[in-house]
Amino acid sequence: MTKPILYATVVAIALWMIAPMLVVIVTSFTDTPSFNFPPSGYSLRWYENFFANQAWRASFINTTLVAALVTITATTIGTLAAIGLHKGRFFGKSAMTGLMLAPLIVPGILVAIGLYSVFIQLNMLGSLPGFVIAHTVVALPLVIINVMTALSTFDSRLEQAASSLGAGRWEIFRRITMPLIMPGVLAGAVFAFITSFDEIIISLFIQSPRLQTLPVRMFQSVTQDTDPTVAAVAVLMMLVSVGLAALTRLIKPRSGSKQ
Amino acid sequence: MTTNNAKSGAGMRVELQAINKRYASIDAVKDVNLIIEAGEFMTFLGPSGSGKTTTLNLIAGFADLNSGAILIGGQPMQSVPAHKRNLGVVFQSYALFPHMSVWNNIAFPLEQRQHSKTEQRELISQVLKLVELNGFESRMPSELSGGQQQRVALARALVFNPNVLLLDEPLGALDKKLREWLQGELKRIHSSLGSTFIFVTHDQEEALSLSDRIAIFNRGRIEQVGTGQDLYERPETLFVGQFLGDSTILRGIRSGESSHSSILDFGGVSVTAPKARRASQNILLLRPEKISLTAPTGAAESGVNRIPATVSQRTYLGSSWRYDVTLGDGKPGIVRQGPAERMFEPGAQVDLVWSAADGVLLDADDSSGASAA
Amino acid sequence: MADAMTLKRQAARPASRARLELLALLPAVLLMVGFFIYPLIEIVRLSFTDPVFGWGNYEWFFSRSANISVSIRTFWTAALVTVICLLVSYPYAYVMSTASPRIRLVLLVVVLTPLWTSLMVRTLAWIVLLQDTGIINDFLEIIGVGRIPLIRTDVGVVIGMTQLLVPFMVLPIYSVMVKVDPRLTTAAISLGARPSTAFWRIYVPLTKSGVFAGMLTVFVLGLGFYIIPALLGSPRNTMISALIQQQVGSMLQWGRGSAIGVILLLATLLSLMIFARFARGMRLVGLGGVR
Repeated sequence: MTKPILYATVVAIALWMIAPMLVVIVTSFTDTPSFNFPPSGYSLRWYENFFANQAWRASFINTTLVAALVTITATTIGTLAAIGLHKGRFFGKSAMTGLMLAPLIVPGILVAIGLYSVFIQLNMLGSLPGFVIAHTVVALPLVIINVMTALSTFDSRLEQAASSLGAGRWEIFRRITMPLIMPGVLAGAVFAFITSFDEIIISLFIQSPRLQTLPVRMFQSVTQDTDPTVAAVAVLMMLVSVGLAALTRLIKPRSGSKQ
Repeated sequence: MTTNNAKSGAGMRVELQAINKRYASIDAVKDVNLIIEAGEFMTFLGPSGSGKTTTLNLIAGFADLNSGAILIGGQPMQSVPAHKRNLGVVFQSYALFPHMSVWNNIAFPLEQRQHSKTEQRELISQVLKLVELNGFESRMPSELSGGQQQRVALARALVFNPNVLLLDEPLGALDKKLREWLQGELKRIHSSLGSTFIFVTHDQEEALSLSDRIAIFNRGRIEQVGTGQDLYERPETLFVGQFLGDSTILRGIRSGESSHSSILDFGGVSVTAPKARRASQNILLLRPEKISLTAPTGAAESGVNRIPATVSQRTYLGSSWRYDVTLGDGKPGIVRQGPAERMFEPGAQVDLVWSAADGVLLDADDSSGASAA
Repeated sequence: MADAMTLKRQAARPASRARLELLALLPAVLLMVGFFIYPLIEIVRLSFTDPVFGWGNYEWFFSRSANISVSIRTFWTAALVTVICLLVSYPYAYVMSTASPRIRLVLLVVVLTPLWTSLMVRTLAWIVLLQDTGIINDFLEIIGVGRIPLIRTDVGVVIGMTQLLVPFMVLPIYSVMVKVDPRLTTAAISLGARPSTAFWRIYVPLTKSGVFAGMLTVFVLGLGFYIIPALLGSPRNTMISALIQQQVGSMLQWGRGSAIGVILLLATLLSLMIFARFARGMRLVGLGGVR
């Protein structure tokens, strides 16, 4: 391939990647109740519709609440697990690591029907604990990967140095290890939040009219009618994700030991 | 330190009693016995993988012994975790905490020991003066050069006045000039503090210029312990003789014995050597500066040995010439000649001449002499 | 000298450290066993016991030609998406690895946008773009090709899936490419190789591990896609995940749905094992979490 053709290809691919987002943004400002593109006129009515609609608002609040709780549980459990996996010298360690990361590979529909059947038995369909547990299972591997990456670039000599300087195990963890793997932990927390915030397949199965998350309502809206409110919701969700992505870029530069 | 905070001669005696360490059935350290006197500058010298760093880690408490005992100041260390041993450790990679400023790095050990803020300020400014880094307190480690980082690491390891300072190849990552300057600094700091220094290196010149005594490590064992001069002039094993400095090795057959000398047969040439201490000693080690080159003559003088060789290469070293020669059996030899001596061209037939007392007689099997230390 | 007591104490210390590490793993293990392993075991159990004990559900699956054609279509779609992803990602990653830091950052942000935007948002975007009155069809009409059905077809599914999975191909290839020493191809050319030969004989083999990692990830994730085929695909040409959803969600045929799930899981594991054999000794990078 010659250079101009190569660059033209890359520009085309880049457009393919971002065009859908731009289309959704434009569509959210349409003034007609259709997905026609480009819109014939512009308005904010679909945003007004979102904020005026009790069901949309409730699902937005539910999604945020679930995602916030998942962030706490997945980050705590995942960070502990990553440290255990990194430091531990025990039989079956690689199998254990595989188990922790398996939800990334196992098709979502399987996790979904499996949890569906278990939640029916436990009467947890459409419950807040049910959503938090289900989303934590799929968010956990992302926290573990991020924290383990941070730990693998962490120089264990620093822990030896700290102990030679008189610090006990807890002091070393608090003053040396934790601050240095913090960027990985925070990145894991952001991934956990976004994973839960966006999760759809499992949520479709374990939801009930009592508790629906935003993606579930979007799915129902898209399959039932052409209501551009869903585009306005999509833009709001994008804002949340982009905001969090910007946050990770802010914390990334301070990461790790350079030595 | 030069103030009343420092107890002069605060260094402690370190004893290694038959220590062993295995990693996955490989003997990293095997039956090492050593006494390091209080205030001594002891160097562990050896090739990589010889067990010197493992021994240091065992003293520091970073790894557990398989058997044996380590005593510091007479106290057994088995049940004392690393953070209670009160040792300073300086790492090759510096191991400065990258998220803390120079000041906070140095304050870390003082905070662990619950020193008051005032005490901390005083001790830190003293130690910064000692390593000549005043004015760098608020820098982050990434903003310092390698030499500066190493001096911060040194200051951090010294600030709490440890009884023993362990240094693991601390100068290995620095360029030659900086290394030599820091060697001088280390020596100065050691003599002003009086604590025990244990220094690990694979650089023999560094070992010779810094140490009171050197322990030579090989394959998990200590081959020999002694001053640099002892080790160079009176090596007890072939390994020590070859590891420290250049040498010419003659493998002969013992053909006679007198009251204070032995006779070796070296390819038909008889050579007189010092009296053997063991019957198995039939290797003669010669230092390059003890040999001189002459034109081949048949004349024999008493007390002087002479064997034929061919010059293969001549190298100018500034203050001397180095000759690489090939001996009768095809083995190499090294001779150093002063500038005033007669010169020989490559290919020339020569005689190597040395005084019988200058040869060192050694065992062929270099492991049998290991426990002599 | 070491007495028996001190020896015992030495042995005890590493053990207590190990216990602490196992304790750190405990919450995660409990969660995974209770809400990941157990549900999967439930699926296996249901596939053999619902409604009656035996191989009935599997016999049903393999006796219906509709099920077989859904399976073949799923594999075919995942494979096609993997190939298109590779063709798209290789030049993209190459330009990324050779570009200036600024361009590189832009290209990185662009390729990561599908990861940072919700699956529902992306799917919605493709509905808007691909619908019969959408901008792509408008364009096709203007250039004279005429309107063609894109949504509710396999074309729509492949376009949507590919866009979603490109990041998983670009990232591992890119991470390998930046480590390739550019002097190697120069060296090959100086030794008399034509630039194209140098590219195929030196550069491509050196980036093979990234390609394998990307293909593995894309294929395995592609097998399990549900939302995009459900919303962009034709209801008559579903993929395996949708088949499972139909059986369990709509028809309450737990046994049949579970049996299909077990078959999908085995197919996924088999693909992983085959790729692992090909990629032996390679460090596979870049597994992420989007289905």
